[in-house]
Amino acid sequence: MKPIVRAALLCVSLFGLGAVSSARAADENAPPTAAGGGASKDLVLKGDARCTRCHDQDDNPQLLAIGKTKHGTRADARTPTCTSCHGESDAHVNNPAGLSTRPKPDRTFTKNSTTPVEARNDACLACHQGSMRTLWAGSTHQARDLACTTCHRIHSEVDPVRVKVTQPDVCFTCHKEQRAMINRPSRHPIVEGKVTCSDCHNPHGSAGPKLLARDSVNQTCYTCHAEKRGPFLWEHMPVTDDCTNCHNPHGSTVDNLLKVRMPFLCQECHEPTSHRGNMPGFVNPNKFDNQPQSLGITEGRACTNCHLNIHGGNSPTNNAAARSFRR
Amino acid sequence: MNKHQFFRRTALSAALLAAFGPGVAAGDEVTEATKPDSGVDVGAGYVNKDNQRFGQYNGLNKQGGYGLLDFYLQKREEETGTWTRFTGRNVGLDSRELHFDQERQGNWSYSIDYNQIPRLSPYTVNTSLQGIGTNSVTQGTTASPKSDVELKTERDITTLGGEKWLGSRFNVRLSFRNEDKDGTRLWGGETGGNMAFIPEPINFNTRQLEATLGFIGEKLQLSGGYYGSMFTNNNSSLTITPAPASNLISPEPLVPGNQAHQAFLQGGYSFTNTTRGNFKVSYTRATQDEQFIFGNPTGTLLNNLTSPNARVDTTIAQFGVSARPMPKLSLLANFRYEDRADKTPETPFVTAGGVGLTNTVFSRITRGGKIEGSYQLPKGYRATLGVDVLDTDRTVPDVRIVSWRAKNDETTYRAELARSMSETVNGRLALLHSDRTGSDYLNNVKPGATYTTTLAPIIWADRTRDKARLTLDWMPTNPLSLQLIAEDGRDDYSGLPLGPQTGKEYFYSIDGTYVFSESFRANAWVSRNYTRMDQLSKVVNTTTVDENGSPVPNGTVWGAQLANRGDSAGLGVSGKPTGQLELGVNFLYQYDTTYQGMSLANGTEPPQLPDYYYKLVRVQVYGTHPLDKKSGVRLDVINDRRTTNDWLWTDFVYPQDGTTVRQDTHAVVTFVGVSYYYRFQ
Repeated sequence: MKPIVRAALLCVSLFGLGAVSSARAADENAPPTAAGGGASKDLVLKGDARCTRCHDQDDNPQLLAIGKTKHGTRADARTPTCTSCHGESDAHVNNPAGLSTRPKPDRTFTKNSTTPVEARNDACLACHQGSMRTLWAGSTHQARDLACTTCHRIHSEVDPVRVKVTQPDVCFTCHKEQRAMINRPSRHPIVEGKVTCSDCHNPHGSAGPKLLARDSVNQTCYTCHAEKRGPFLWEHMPVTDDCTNCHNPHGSTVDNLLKVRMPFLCQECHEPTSHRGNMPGFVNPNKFDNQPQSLGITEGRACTNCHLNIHGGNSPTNNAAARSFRR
Repeated sequence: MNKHQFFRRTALSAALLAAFGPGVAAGDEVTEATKPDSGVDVGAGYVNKDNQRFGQYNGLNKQGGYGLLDFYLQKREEETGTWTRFTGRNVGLDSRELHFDQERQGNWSYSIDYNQIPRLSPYTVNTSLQGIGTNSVTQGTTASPKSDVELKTERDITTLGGEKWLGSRFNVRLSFRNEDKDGTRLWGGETGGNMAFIPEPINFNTRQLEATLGFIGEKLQLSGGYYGSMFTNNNSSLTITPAPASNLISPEPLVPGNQAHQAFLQGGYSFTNTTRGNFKVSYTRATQDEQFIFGNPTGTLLNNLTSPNARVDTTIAQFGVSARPMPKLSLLANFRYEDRADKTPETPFVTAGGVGLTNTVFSRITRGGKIEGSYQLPKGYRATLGVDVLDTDRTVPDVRIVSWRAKNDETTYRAELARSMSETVNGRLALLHSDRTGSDYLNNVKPGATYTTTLAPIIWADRTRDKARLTLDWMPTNPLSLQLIAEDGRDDYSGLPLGPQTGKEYFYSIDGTYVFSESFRANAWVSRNYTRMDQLSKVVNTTTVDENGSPVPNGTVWGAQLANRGDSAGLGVSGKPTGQLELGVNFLYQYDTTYQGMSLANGTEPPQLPDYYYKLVRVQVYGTHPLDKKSGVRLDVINDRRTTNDWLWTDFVYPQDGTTVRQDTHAVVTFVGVSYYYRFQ
C-alpha cells in the first residue's frame, strides 16, 4: 500500500473512528470501494473495513480472494468476517505501543503461527462442527495437532484439497508412502483424478479404522465394488473379514492390487495339504495344472486360474468345485 | 508433482459466456479480486501411439487426435447468495466429468453429476473365443484362428444431490447415485482338466441412496439417516459352448445381485469447552437372494432350495470422549464394537466323505478400545502415550481347511514425541509395539480328508509388531525447506511351525522446496520403500524337484522370501523467465522391483523365480503465455515411458484353446496438447 494512503488512513483512524463506524453501519451492504481517502468501507465482508483499510487490493489482493468463495457470500447471514476467525486483534490494528514490528492478529493460521492449534481450529469449528466433522474430536488428525488450515486454503478461490485432481498432493504432504504407491502398475485411477483420497477416507473423523469413509474397510470398498459384497452361498472368510487381508488399495506391483502374488498369498493361510503347498516354478513348462512347479500355479492367474470365484461362490451343485470357488 | 496439468481449467467459449455474464469491467480491482472467476480451456491434443497403461483410465489410449475441453463457470447472485456452477473436465474424452449445481447458501442446494471412468486392461488377449462381452461364449480349439482382443470396462455414473436447511439448525440431505458398469474382464476357470480363458461379461448396475437429517446446535450435533446400496448383475449366468466337462458348468453362475440397507445415527456433544464426546451407531442388513443357476452337469442336489436366502447383519457402535482437564494435558478414549452376524441358513449342499456339508457361514465380533494422553512439555515439545486393544471372536465352522482360531487379542502401545512451533525444526518421533495372541488352534477337519494343523494363517497368527517413524520439517534458510520421513518396522510371527515368519518394512523420503523468487520455485523428492515377508510351507508332492532336478522328499519344509523395493523420485520447476511466459517441468521416476526367492530346508536349492521390475519415467513440460489480460495459450507435452520384464503371462498358453495374453513391455507415449484459455467473471 502506498505510504501516503497509509498515513491518511492513520489520521482517519485517530480522529474519525466514530465517523467510520457510523458510515460502516449505514453502508453495510454497499458495494465495496477502494480504500484510501475518506471513511473506510467494507471491501469483501461485513465489518471488514477494520482490516481491509490496510489489507486492500493494493496490499495483498490474494487475501481478498476469500470474496470469491462461500466464505465471501455476504447474503448468507452465517458468513463470518475477518475478526470472526482472526479475533478483534486490537493490538494488531491499533499498535498502541507504537512497536516497529506490528503485533500479529490475535489468531493467525500460517505455518509458523504461534496460535495454539486448538485455538485455530476453534475458529473453524464455531461454524463447521457437525455433519462430516462430527467425529473430529479424538480422531487421528485432531489428536496429532493438525490444524484445519494445514490442509485448507481459506483465502484462495480454489482450495486444492477440495478438488479431486489436486487433493492427493495435499495429503502427500504427510503421507509420502502413498505417493510412491499410486503410480504402481496395479492401481486405482488416482493420478487421473477419478478416485481421490476422500473417496475412501474421511480425514475429519470416522467410526471406521484408518479414518475410512464408511464404518469398516469392506463397507468402504463395497461403495464401488458392490459385486464383492455377497453374501454368497460359499463365503471365503478373509474376504468377509477385511479386503486388505489380500489387497493394497493404494497400489501394487501385483495384478488386481494384491499384496503378494499367488500362490504365495494363499499359502500365507492355507495348510500345505493336497496341492496347496506346491512350490511355483517353470520346471513343467507345458503343464497348466496345480502340480508343483507348473505354470498353472505360477503364471496367468495362478490359483485363480481354477478358483475363479475367489470372493465367494453361489453354485448350489453337489460338487466339491462349488465349495472351493471353482464354479 | 501436479498430475493432469494438461487438463488445468482456465479458458472460455462464446456460448457459455452468454449464459454466465460479461467480462470484468476494466479498472474495478476490488471486484476482480473478490468476484468468483470462470474460465474455459479449449484445444486439441495428440497421442503418438496406441497404449494400455498411459491411457488406462483417461481415454488417451489410441493414437490420434483428441478434442480438449475443460470449463469452470460460476456465478453468484450477491443479493440472494445464490450460486450457479457448471463445470466440465475432459469433456472431449471418454473420461469426461460434468457437474451442475445451484445453491442458495444456508438455504437449499441441488446438484447433478456425470462421471465416466474407463478402465483398459493392461493386457492384450489373442484368442479364438467368440461372444466376448456377451452372456454366451463359444470356445475354439488350439487350431482355431485367433485375433487380438482388448478387454475394458467403463463406468457411467450419474449422481443427484440435494440439501435443504430447515431453519438454522436442521438440514436434510439426499443423494442418489446410479452407476452402470459395462465391459469384460480377464477371467477363466478349469474345464475337464484344462484351464480355459473365459472372460467375465460385466453388465452391472449399482444404485446408492442416502438420506440424512441433521441437527446442529451449539453443543449438540446429531445426524441420522439411511444408506442403501442395490447391486444388479444383468447377466445372471454365462453359457459356455461346448459345455465344460467338469468344474466349470454351463450355464456358469455369475456374481449374483445383492442389497444392503443401513440405518445410522451419529452425534457429538460438547460437555464443556474442553470436553467433547461423540458416537456413531449403525445397523446394516445385507441380503442376496438370487435364483440359483444350476448349470450342467448338475449331478444330484442335496436340497430343494432355489435361492440361498443369504443375509448378514452388521452392527457397529463407536463411542469416544476427548478432554483437556489441564491446559497442557489432553486425554482421549474411544471404544468400537462391530458385530457381523451371518444369518444365512446353513443347509447341506455338498457331500464329502459321505457327509453332507453345509454352506459356509462366518460371524465375527470385534471390540476395540483406545486410551491416549498427550502432555505439552516446555520448548514446544509434546509427549503422547497410548494403548489400543482389539479383541476378536469368530464362529467356528464345522469344516476347516485352515488352522482356525476362535479368538484373537491384540494390544498396541504407542509413544510419541513431537516438537512444533519452532521456526527451524519441527518433527515427530513415534514408536509402536503390539502383541497379538489368540485361542488355541483348532484342528483342520473335513470328512473324507486328512488335514494337518501346522500353518498359522497370517490374519490371526501370534504376532509381535514393532515400528518406528520419524518426521522432520527443517527450514535451514528462508527459501529452502526440507522434509524427512523415515520409518522402520518388523513383524515376528509364531505359534505354529509354518506360515508367516517375519515381516519387515522401511520407508525413507526426503522432500525439498526452494523458492528462488515470487515467480520461480523448484521442488524435488526422493523416496525408497521396502517390504519383505518370509514364510514357510511344506512340500506335499513327490514331483517337486530341486535346481538339479532331483526329487525333494515329501514333508520337506520350503520357504519363500517375498520382497518389494520401490525407488521413486520427482522434480518440479516452475517460473516466469519473462514477465508473461510461464514455464514448468515435472519429472517423475519410479522403479519397483519384486523378489520372490525360495529355499529348501534340506540344504538343496529349488529352481528360482526371476525377479521382475516395473519402471516409469514421465516428463511433463508446460508453458502458458497470455494474449491479453483475460486469455492466453497453453502448451503441454508429456512423455511417458514404461518398461517391465514381468513374466506373468510370457509362457502361459490356455490349454483349452491356445489363448495367450501379453502386455507391452516397453511403451513410450507422447502427448502434445495445445489449448486456448479465457478467464472472465
